[in-house]
Amino acid sequence: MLTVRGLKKRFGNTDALRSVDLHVEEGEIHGLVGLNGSGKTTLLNVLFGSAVISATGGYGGEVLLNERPVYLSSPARAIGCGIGMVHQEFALIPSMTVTENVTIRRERVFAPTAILGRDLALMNAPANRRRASSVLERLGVRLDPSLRVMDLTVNMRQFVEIAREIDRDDLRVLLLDEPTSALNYGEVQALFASLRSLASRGVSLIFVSHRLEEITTLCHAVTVLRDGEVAGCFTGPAYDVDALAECMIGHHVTRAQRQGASRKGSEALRLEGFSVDMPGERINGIDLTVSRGEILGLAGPSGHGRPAFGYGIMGMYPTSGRVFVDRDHIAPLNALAMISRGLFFIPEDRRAAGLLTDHSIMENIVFAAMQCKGAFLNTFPFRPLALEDRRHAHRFAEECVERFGIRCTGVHQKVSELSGGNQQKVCIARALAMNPGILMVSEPTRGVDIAAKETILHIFLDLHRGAGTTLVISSSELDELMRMCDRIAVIHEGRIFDVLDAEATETEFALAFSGERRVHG
Amino acid sequence: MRSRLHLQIPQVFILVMLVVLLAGAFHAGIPLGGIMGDALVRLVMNGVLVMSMIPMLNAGLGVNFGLPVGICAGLLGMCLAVNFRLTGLAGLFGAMLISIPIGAVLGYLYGRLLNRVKGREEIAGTFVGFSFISIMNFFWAVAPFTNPTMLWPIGGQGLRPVIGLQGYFAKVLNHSWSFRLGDLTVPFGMLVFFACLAVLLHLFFHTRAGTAMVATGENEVFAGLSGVDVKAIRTLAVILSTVLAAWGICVYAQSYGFLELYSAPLMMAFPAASAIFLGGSLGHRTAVIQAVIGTFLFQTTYVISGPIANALLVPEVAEIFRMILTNGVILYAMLYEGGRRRRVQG
Repeated sequence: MLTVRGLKKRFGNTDALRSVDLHVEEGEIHGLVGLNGSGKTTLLNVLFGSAVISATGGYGGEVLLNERPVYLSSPARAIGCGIGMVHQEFALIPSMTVTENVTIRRERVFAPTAILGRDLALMNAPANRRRASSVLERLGVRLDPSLRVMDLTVNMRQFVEIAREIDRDDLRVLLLDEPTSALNYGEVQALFASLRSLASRGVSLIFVSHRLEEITTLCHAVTVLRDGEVAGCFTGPAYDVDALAECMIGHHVTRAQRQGASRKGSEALRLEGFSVDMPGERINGIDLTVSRGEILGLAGPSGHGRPAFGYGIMGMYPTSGRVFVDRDHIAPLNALAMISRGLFFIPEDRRAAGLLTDHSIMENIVFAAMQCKGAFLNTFPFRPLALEDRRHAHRFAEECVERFGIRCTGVHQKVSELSGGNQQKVCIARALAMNPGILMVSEPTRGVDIAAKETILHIFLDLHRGAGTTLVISSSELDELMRMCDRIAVIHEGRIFDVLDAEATETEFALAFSGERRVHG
Repeated sequence: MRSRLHLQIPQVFILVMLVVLLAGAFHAGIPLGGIMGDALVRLVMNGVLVMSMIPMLNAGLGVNFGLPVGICAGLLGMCLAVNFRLTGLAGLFGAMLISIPIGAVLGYLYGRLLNRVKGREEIAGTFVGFSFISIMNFFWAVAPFTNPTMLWPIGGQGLRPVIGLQGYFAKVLNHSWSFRLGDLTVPFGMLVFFACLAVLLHLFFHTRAGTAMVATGENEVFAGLSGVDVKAIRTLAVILSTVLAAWGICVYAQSYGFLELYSAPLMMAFPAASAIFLGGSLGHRTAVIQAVIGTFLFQTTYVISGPIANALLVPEVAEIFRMILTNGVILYAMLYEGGRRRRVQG
C-alpha cells in the first residue's frame, strides 16, 4: 500500500531524516517509535505534505502509494491521495461544534439546494449531527455533538480529531501522531477496537506512541527510529517492550520503583466537602486527607474532575468546601496563600500554564521563588524595588540543569526550544526552587519519551526520599502511579470513588474507573 | 535583546525614507546641523510619552490608546503649577510631582475598568480616552483657577484652550546644559533627563514587580499559579503608564512652550503608538530601547520632511506623508500581529 524509500529531510543544517525506508501493507497497523527528536513527527509531516516541509525546501527520496510514485507537496494533495492524519496538537476549530468539526468539507446538504454548488448549498444539520454521533459511537464515546470544541476536555478533543479522519470514505492511509497521550486506559481500549475494525476494512495505519505496551498490543509491525534513521524493524509476535526500548535508546533503562512504604507523619493536607467548578472537569464534594511524607496518587477517567484538583486548591477556579494545610483552615484560597504554606503545584498543561515559553530556562526556574519568597533579589532598602540577583539565579539554574540533566545550550535558552521531557524538568526545577513541603503534580510524564520519563519519576522519588516532600501525583498512567504511590485515590464523576493500595490489582482499578460497585438508589 | 531588534518592513521603509529625505535635504542645501538639533529635541519631547506605553504593553494590556487619561493628569498638574506661579525647573518638576497622585488615582480607576474588559483593552482604552476628554472639557471650563494668564480674558471664568508657558517653565529643560557644536545645538540636560528615565524604566523590569508584569503579559495562568496577584499587577501597570504619560506631556508642553487643553490630546495616542511599533515592538514584550529607537526614527522623519517638502514640493505633502506613516504603521502592526496569531493557531 504505502512504501517509503530513502526518505531524507534537512532542517537548516540538521538532518531530521537520513534515508528512511518503510513499508506498510494494506490493512496493516504499523507502529512507529523513537525518542523525542528521532524524526517520527517529521516522517508523518512528510507523508501528510505539511506546510512545514514544503516551506523548508521539501524532502528527498521516494514515496509510493500502490506502487505509484507520488510527491506529497501539500496537505490537500495528501488528502487527495487518501491519506489522513490525526495530529498530536489538534487541528480542530475551537469555536465550531463537534458536528461541524467532524463533518467539515463533507457536510450533508439538502438535495434540492445542491444545484447551487457545494459552497452555497444549504447544510442538512440533523443529518450531519446523526453522522457525527454515529462515528463517535463507533469510537465508543458518548459526547453531545452540539458542544463546541473549545468547551471539551483534551481527551474528548482527541476523539473528535480521530472521528473526523475515520469518517472519510476515501481513507486509505491514516497517520496517528500520539493519539493516546491524552486518553486513559478504557478510552484507549475503545480506540484500539475501532482502529482494528478500520484496519480490517483495508485501511493502512501508521501509529506513533510513546507507550510501548500499546504498540506491542496493537501493531502488526514496528519500525524504530533513532536519530533520523531506522534503528530496527520488528514484525510478528517476536518483539516485546524491553526489546523495543533498548532499540530506541541504544542502552538499557532502569524503571523507577518506590522502595517500601513511606514513613507517614501528621496530617499535611485535608479537604472537607471540597468542590471545584472547572468547566468539563467538575469536582463535587471531596473529603480527603494527605499525611506528611506520603505519596498519594490521583487516578480516574478524564472528564471526571482529576485536573480540577490542583487548579482548585490553588484557587484558579471557583470552589466551595474547606481546605486545611497542617490543620489550619486556608481562606480565601489563592496561589499565594498556598505557596506561603509550602504547597506548590505543577500543572499538566506545560505550555499554557506551567511555563513562560518565551522566557529563558533561568527566568522560569527562579520566577515563583522570586515572586513569593523574595529569593534571587539583591539587597536594597526598599524591597519592592530591589533588582534581581542574576548571578545567584544563574548559579542556581546551572545547578538544576546539571542535577536533572536538562539538555539545553545553556540556562539562557528559551524553554519553547526544549523538548517535552526537558520542559517538564524545568517545571520540576521551578518547584524545587520553592522548596515545597507538599508538591502537587499533574501528568508529570505526558508527552515525554520513555528515557526522560523514568528520569523524571526518579527525580520525584529522590525528592521524596531526600527532602521528605509530600507528593500528590495526578496521572492517567496507572502503571506509573502503582510504581510510585503509597495510596491511589480513584476519582469518578467528581467524587472520590475509592482509595486503593498501590498493591491493588488492575481489575480492582478497572472496576473503580468505571464506577462499578456503586450502590444506585 | 538583539533578536528582538531585527528589521521589519516598517523599519526598512522608514530607513529608506530617512535616507531619501537626508539626500533631499543635502540637495536643497538645508543645514543638517539645525535638523539634527531639532531631531534630538523632538526625541525627548515625544520619547517620554512613547515610553509610557511600555508598562501596559508588557503587562499584556496592549497599546495604551487611552493615553489621553495620563495626558490630562499631566495637564492638570501643569495648570496647578502655573496657578501656584511656579517658574523655571521648579515649575516643571513641581508640575511632574503634582501629576503623580493625580495620575495614580486616574490610573487606578482606568486599570480597574480595563480589568473588567480583558481581551479588549485596546478598543476600550480608545473610548476611555475619547470620553475622558469630554469630561475634562467640562472641568477645564468650570475649574476655579485664579491666575489670570490662564483664564479667558473676558469674563475671567474657565481656562483658555492654549496657555502660554513663557514666564513659567517654557523650554527650561531644552535650555538646561545645552551647548553648541558648530551649527548643532545639543540639548544636553534634556538628553540626560531622558536617559535617566529610560534607565530607571529598564531597571524596573528587573525588579520583582517588573518581572511579574512581563510574566503576566505572557501567560496569566502561569503568573497566577506562581503566586502573582494578576489583577493588582495589571492595575499597577496601568498606573505606571498613566503617571509616565503625565510626565510625558509635561516634557512635551515645556518644549512646545504652550499648554493645550480641551480636545488637543484627542489624537496624541496615535503617533506614540506608531513610534513604538516602528521600534520593532509588535504589541507585546517591549524593550525600552525599542521605544527610544522608534521615537527617534519617527520624529527625525517628521523633522526633516517639513523643510524639504517646503523647498521641493507643495508644503502639504509633508503632512500627508506623516499621516500615511503614522496610521499605516499601526495598521501594519495589527495586520502582522493578526497573521502571527493565525499561524500559531493553525
